[in-house]
Amino acid sequence: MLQVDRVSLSYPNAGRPALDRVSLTVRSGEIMALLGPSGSGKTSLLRVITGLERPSSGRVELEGRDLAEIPVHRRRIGLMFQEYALFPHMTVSENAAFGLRMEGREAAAVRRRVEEVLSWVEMEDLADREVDSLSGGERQRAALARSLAPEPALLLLDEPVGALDRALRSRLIPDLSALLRRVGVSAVYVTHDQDEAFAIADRVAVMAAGRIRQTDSPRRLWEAPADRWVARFLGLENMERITVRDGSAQGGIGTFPLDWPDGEYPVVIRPEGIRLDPDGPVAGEVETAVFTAGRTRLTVSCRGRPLAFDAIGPAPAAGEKVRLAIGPEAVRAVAEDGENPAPGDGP
Amino acid sequence: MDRDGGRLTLRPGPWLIAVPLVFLGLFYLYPLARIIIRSLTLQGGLDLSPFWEIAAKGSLRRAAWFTLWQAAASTFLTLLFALPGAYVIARFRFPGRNFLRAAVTVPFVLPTVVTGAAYLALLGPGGPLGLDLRGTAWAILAAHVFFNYAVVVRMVGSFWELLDPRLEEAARALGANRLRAFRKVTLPLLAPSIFAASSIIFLFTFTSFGVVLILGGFGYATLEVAIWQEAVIHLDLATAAALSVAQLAGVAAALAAYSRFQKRRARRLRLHPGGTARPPDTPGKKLAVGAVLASMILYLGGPIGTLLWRSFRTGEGGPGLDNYRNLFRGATRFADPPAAMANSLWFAVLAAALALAVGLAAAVVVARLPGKTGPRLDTLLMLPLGTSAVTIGFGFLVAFDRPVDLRASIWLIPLAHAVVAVPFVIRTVAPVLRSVRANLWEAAATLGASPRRVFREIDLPIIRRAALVGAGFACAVSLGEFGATAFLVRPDRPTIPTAIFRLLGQPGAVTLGQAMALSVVLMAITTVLIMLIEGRRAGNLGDF
Repeated sequence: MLQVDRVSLSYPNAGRPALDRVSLTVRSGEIMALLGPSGSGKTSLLRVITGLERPSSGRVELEGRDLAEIPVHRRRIGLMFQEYALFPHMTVSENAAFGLRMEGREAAAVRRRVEEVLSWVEMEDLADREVDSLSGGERQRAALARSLAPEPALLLLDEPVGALDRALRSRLIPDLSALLRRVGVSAVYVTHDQDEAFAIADRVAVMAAGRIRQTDSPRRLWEAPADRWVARFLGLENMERITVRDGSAQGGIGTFPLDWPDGEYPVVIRPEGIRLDPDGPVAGEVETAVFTAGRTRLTVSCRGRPLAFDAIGPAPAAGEKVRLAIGPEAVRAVAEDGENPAPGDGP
Repeated sequence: MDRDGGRLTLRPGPWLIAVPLVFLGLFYLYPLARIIIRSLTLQGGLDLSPFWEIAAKGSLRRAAWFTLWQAAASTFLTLLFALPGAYVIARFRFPGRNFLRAAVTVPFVLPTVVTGAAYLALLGPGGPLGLDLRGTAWAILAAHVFFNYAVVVRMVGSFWELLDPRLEEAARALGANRLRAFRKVTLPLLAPSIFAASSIIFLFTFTSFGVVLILGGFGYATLEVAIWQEAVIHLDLATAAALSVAQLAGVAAALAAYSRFQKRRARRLRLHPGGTARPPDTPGKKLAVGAVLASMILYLGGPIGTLLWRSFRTGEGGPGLDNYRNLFRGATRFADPPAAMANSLWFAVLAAALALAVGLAAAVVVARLPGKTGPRLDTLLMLPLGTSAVTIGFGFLVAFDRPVDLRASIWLIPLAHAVVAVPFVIRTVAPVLRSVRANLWEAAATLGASPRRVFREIDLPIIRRAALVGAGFACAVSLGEFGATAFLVRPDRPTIPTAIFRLLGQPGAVTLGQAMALSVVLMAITTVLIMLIEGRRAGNLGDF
């Protein structure tokens, strides 16, 4: 479907390149999330794919065709902008009809298609409204309808819910995900929000400093972050350097059983594998206990090293002495930053 | 649209840049240069005698001195009268507040001859106050305060409204009494906007022409009036040119002061975008607010009310439409009001068309040129706004005698009006163009619109509305323009303002009545135009 091959992009007078040999494949009907902090190059990559930026080097192919000499308006790649970029001098339905009119479809066909896409986003009743009078969520849906209307071969979404408040965002994302799948369009979804990326995408490409650090399914990404940077970006805070000898791991936090070959490993310990256990091997003192909906986030200091995890149900208070058990499935070897990614499976 | 380092941009081509530059060069800079050359040379050689003549001639020395002190006094008096009004409108909420804020602007946009006529009705013989202040400095100062009131309300008041009242409250909590908190906190924060407003008012009154000509009689002349007298009555172009150069120096100083304060006004302050106005809550505050509002309404409404009342008074003293009937009766020995109205409308259309063509090109250039070039050109194109209309009219008179004598051309007056109006068009259109952000073009492109289509479907329709507003401004400017027109008008082709001026200068109740009625007509047209414009303006497009 979409093939991005070692694309680089440098702006004049800028230090490091905005994109540095980025490669990415999007399969037909797949939703790929580009996840990364701001300035990591996500939007630049989208702009290169649409043709709004010309890459300094590398190739972009869509359905096997090289896009290099095809101008933006002939690429059939839809782009939904971060602030929607709705045309202020047109109504909702005129916005949605724009791409269809550019194709030169007849008026009746345009009208039918506009009705259809507006019904997808439940905007039929607002068809004749000026876009200035729409709420944030309505704008978002109008922009989505506009970008879907001309049946683009590929849809790119740049932080499509980034301008909305949190509550609205979490309500809209399942709808958006369901709609994209129902339409069956291949999509690249840019976001800096991990929950959003995980909720909507089949696969996630994590970007940092103009490079793609890892491309994987959300589950694999979480379970096997490629390096410490990715792990930390995903919110995995418990980093350790352990030495395994005879089925026992020793690190800064203490000693616990781990059935790995002898050796030294940098590891990340995922919070869901840590639990309170009066007979656990690791001792510590609760530093902070923050109650959030249904669970308590505990930070336990183990020999001066913090371990963070969630406790469900009654939780100890700050200052209490506790013991912890660490499940071996939660321990994962990760590469140091800049090293080669850890091997796919095993320790 | 072309590619620039891989980025898509819409850049104005060289021919588009040429339009405003050639216009500005030919009809603004060239006449200005001719004035300066005229003041320095006589028959090809350097000759500074006009300047010595000014210094030697008592009447001209007096004009220069009067220009300076009346501008300073007008500025001071306007601040004195208008600051309480600005404060009340900024800080208190009361019924009719928005209407009042809009109404305050009316005197500011009134043509100067209408202001002059209104003050003649109010302070002239037979006025409701029973005074005759014609030919005194008081009448001039009062009229100056009248039309500059809005400058203070708009520039200082709008800033005051957004100023966080908690700053003053914090000072109170720290032990400052009310007066001290105002003096030590609010006043220093307001100071830049007060100075900016003062330099604008100084500029306006320093270059005041129509009002002084009508109310000053023979006793008081500003430099502007003196330039006109030398050029049009005494036909002494060299002295007039020297006076213009002196006047330009004063204007440049006021403008420099303004731009300095304007920069300081941009100090980063946390402002309250919603405003901080509250209803007056104590009886004392209510009384104070009521008193300020009443005096404000009286002061601003009085002249306009008197003008209306005088225009509807018949020769016998009763109410009636005699004056209006006289207007349409046709030409008299002094003026031809129907022809003046036809001429004015015709000039306004031509001026608006010219200003729109040049202003649109200029707005595209200013808004779309990359880097610092756009803003720099913007400053250059705004120069006519700071130049008095008298200078522009006189410049045309001096400049367009050879190689072709354009001075008899019907285009001369619309051209001069267009020079004055172009900055207004740019000020209206450029912000709208800037608001058409790149992402709209990009959105259209990703939806399949070719570059040409992007312009037709996106830019053009969005500009159209702003262009209409700009054209409306240009019409209003042209209809009321007096300073430049006074130099260029031919007796057989009067405009409404020049007809009013002529009628006011004649003795007799009939001509005075006609002048009042014609002033009301001009006021009505201008007000309707401005209201249409305000209604169409999306949001606030700058101070003026």
